[in-house]
This record gives sequence, C-alpha cells and structure tokens, in this order.
Amino acid sequence: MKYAVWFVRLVFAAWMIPAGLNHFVTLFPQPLGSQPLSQELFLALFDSHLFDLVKAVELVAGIGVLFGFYVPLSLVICMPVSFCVWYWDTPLEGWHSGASIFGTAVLVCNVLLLLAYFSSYRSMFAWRSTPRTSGPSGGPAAGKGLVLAGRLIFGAWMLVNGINYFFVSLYALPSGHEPLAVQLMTGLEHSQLLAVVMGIELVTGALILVGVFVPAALCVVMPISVCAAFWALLDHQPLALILGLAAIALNGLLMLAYIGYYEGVLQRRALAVGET
Amino acid sequence: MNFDTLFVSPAGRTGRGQFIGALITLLAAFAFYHVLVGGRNSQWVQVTLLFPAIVLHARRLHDMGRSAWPLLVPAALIVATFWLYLYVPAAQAKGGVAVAALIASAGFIGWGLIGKGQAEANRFGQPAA
Repeated sequence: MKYAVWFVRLVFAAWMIPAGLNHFVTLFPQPLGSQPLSQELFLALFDSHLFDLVKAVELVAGIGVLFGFYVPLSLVICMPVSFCVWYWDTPLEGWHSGASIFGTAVLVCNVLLLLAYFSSYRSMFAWRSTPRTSGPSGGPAAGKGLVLAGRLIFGAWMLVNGINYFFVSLYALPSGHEPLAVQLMTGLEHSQLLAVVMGIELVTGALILVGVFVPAALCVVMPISVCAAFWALLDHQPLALILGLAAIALNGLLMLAYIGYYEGVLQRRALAVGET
Repeated sequence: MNFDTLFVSPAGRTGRGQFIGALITLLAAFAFYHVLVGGRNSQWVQVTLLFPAIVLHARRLHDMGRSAWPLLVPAALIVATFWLYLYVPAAQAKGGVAVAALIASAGFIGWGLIGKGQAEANRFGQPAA
C-alpha cells in the first residue's frame, strides 16, 4: 500500500510544482482552453488575478507534498484547486478531451492522497464538536455563547445563499459593478461553477447550522469565503466588501474556535497509511 | 519506513531492501510521465523528480559508507541533457551528453542495487532498520 501512496505522491507533487511555477516563470505554454466556456472562465480568472492565487496554491501545495512539509494541510488547500482543474479540463473542455485525462488524474491523485492521510483528518469529521471555550473575557460560558451565535449566523447565511440560488429567489445575486468583478461573476455563472459553489454553501451551511460535522464543513466552505472576499475586493462596493470580509472573518474565527479538531491537519510531519 | 525518510532527508542511511522498493516506485513515476504524458511540462516534472532521486541515492551511498557528492555527476549530466534538448535543440553534443547521463545514472542505480551496506554504524548514522 505504501508504495502506491508514494507513487501517487510523487506523481502529484512533481506535477504541481512546475504547473504552479509556470505562472510566475514561463516554463511551458499555459493551456488557454479550446472551448468558449473554458476560455471565458480562464480569461476571467486570469484578468481578475484570481489565477495568481490558484497557481500560488499549486506551487506551495506541491512543495509541501514533495518535501513532506505540512502534507495534510497542503493536500486540503490544494483540493479546491484540483477540483477546479478537473472542472475546467473535463466538463468545460469536454468529457472526451485530452485535457480531461489530466484534470481527472489531478483530482483523483488529490483525493487518493487525502484518503491515504485520513488519520490526520479523522478528528475533523466528529459528528458533534465542542468549541474551545476559553473566552478572553466573560469566561468559558460567554465564549461558548459567542461561538454558538457565530455558528448559527454563518450557517444560516450560507444555507440561505444556497436556498436563494436553487429553490426560492429571495434576493438578486450580485452581478458586480466593476468590469473585472462582472467578468469574473459572468464566467462563474456561464460555466455553472457558481452552481457548484452554491451547492457547497447549501450543504455546508445546513451542517454548520445544525452543528453536525462543523469543523469539516467550515474547512470545505473556507475557499469559497476567500473567493467571495476576493470578488468583493474587485467590485469596490462598500456593502459587498463588508459582507465579503465578514464572511471570511467569521469563517476563520469559527475555525479558530474549533482549532482542536484541526490538530491532525496541522501536523508538520504526518504519516500516510502503511508508513511507520 | 516512510516517504520523508527515503525521498526528502538526505541525511541518514537507506538499506538495500528499502532502496529497491523506493527505486521501483520512483522509476514508475518517471516512466509514467515519460511514456504516458510527454511534452514540455512532462520534462519539467521529470526534472522535479530528480530531487527525490538524488536523496534516495545519497542515502544508499551513505549506507555503503560513501559520500553522496559523486551524485553531482549524473545530476549535472541529466540537467545538461534537459537543457540542451529544451533550449539548444540544434546542439551537436546533446546526443553524447544524453548517453553519458544515461550511463552515469545506470551506473549509480546498479551500484545502489549491488553495493553492500555496512553492518555497523558509520559516519552517516546507524544502519537502516
């Protein structure tokens, strides 16, 4: 088993490092897409500089996985990128395209490695979790109450976003005011990636609200909070900016409150299945 | 035995038995990219894989009580081959350099496979468990 894990780890890390580095130092031509939707999304990501973030994540995660530095964390932060690589290469470029093979390989490698390090993630999947209760003032009870309030607000916010998108139109989706924000949102809408985002918000919001798998749900929704804040920065609208920053702050603070459940993920040196 | 010990940290020793399993895994990764992927990004991936390859061989040489510095020879030849094929494709010497890189690499792989590890502790540490 360990040899299979090592093979996947070598294949994955050695791919991610040049793929990430290539954005900052040109090593080989960057694929731009051959289909209208994939080209539109790529341009939106590239023009908005969200692609810089994507490539930086690939590079950092690749280095982490190859050099054994915070491997479980590297794999987790790379997962949204691997999913987007697969999404761009497969549904957008075509299920039978050559790119689809690479996209699927990246996603499969990432998922297999996550499974290989599952012991590091096990605590994140606690059915019921208790936040750290040592509040700075007002004692443990006040801290617990604050976390509960934050969890309910954040969970309801994400859940309502999802319901608004899929079931009942409660408010209009922000389309953006600045050209880059409009371009990015249009790209996400046309590619249906926005539906994926909203689906994740719907599910994680429900889990956070009812208090089930909270640490895992917070971790899954974090990249979306980061992208929402990034989009709000692009849009230059005060309300969007406040909401975007509030989402990322609330998400981050809640993760800090549940930090004990991420201890496995934050190990500097972790062993995969079969390793001693 | 774990990935970090074999492929990341050049300090320490790797016994022949562990070396063989790790080497097969590493060569499989090289072959995967060389045969199935191809293209310029695949070439950069193979250059990236040089790091774990050097670490693995360095630890094996340590187990035999040898310094790892001679590994610079195949590493330099491989990088030179890559550089010539990628950036100076018209160079006359590229075939010769590639053959030299192949021979040097095969030599070190063979040495790692055949060479007997020292049973006792040496300047690189205790024998691999």
